Amino acid sequence: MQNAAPIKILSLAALMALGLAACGERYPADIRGSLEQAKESALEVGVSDAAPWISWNDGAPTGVEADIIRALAEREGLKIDWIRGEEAELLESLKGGDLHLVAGGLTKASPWKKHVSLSAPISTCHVYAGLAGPGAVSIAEDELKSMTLEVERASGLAHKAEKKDYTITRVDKLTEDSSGAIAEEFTLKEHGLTPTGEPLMKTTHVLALPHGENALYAALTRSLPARPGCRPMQEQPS
Amino acid sequence: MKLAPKYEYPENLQPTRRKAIWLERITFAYLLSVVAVMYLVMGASQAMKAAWLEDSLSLIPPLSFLIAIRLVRRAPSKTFPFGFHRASTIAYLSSSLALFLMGAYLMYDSSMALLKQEKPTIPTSYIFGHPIWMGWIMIGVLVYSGLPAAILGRMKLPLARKLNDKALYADAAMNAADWQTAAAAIVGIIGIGFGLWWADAAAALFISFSIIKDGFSNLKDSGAQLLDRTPDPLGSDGNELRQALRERLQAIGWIDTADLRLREVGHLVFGEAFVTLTGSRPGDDQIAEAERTLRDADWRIGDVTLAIGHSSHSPQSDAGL
Repeated sequence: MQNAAPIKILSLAALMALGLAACGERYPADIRGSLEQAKESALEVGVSDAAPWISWNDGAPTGVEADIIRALAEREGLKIDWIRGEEAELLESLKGGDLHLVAGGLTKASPWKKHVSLSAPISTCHVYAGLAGPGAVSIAEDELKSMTLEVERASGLAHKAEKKDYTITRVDKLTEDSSGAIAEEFTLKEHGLTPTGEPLMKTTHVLALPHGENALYAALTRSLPARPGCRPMQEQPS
Repeated sequence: MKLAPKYEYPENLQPTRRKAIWLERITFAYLLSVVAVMYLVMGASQAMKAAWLEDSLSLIPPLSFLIAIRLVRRAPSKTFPFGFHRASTIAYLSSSLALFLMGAYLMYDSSMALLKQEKPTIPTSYIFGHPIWMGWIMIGVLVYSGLPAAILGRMKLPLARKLNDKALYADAAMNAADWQTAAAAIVGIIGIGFGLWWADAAAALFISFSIIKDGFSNLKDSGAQLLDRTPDPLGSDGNELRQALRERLQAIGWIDTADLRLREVGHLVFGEAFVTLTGSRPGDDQIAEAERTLRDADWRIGDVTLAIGHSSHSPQSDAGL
């Protein structure tokens, strides 16, 4: 039984904590010092087009994620350098610490989460089956599942809907005259469809940061609301 | 068939035995709760996953102790004429192996983190509407996983010595390892907060050496005990024990010379005493009296057989049954 060593380490930790209290530095700190760098020069943000989350309009990014990053910059007093690129290349640069943030409609389920760290949720939307017509339609679950609903091929939702026994047809793009579809609530709204029944799943959107930048991570979390809700729904004029 | 006597602990050690069983039950239930809580909070954090795996490993010693302590009391039978005392040594072996593996895993995991230069992210999340650095939550869970283990381990050590229960002893070492790992992880998390990416892995690597050392020495000891090494009981000296038995035998009138060959079987000591006679063959009651004298020397003596005129093996014999 060697109990002396951990006691020494723990007292060292206590000393460190005291030192921390004395100098009042930012805690937790970044491993690479991203936030400090951003303060000295600018916050370097990689942007990969993904409407309605972020897209390039008249030489500047707009969308939910652009607004969030501007709010962060304002809160921390930072200038922003927007860098437009391909998602894979931007994330690769982020992994190596060459960027401070990447925005591109990423979700918590991104397979990149091993290589970069994903922020606190910036938006949580629900995926519903939506039917044409205003007002809430009351319909039995079995009936809803027997109707043929459209799902965008590139939305990543088709196989998940099939797993839940929905009858679906894959389409390239939802159109205005779609009679029923499965999509995130804001997409349904865009196409004049009303969410019906229970949500199929939750989608959590996030921004990406380099691993270990715990001060930047904390600053970003602080500039987000505790319960973000479905941001594209809040920003669209209804 | 002549069976070994049914005996495990004398009356005065029964309360200690019951206390040890209770401590191990508490340990098992507590560790199970730690494993459950860890599973809930670990998320994607590699460091927490490693801590969880270690806590799962530390379930092995109390479990094997609890199984063994029931088995050792069973009366010897025709199939098991020597009784079930060695169950405790098997428990000791599995506990030591668990301890050793825990140290080895910790060393592997932390060295890999250092080699790959992994920069750990500890997120800041909203908890009940407040942004909280998850490092503080992790430290809370680690204190829960370390502090009671330290206290339980300390309480088990004197019991293990009294009962000569090495499985219990290895479990106390496991509890010490638990709290040392937790302490290292706390230091690591505080270090990460200062922007030192290597703090976590370095602290774990440092602790892994002492756990491996503890695990290896226990593993060696349990293996040696299974190989019938001369007794080295906890809280007693094997050589002194042998010497005392020898003196007791030589004090008996009908015995000329005496020598002993002893082994540790679980909590007890078994063996043979080889004697030469001064005169004629002793009576049955004289032999029984001599064996009782041996058993009365120490509670750890389980069964020592008297052998008179024992011969050695003849290598020329090729008989087979």
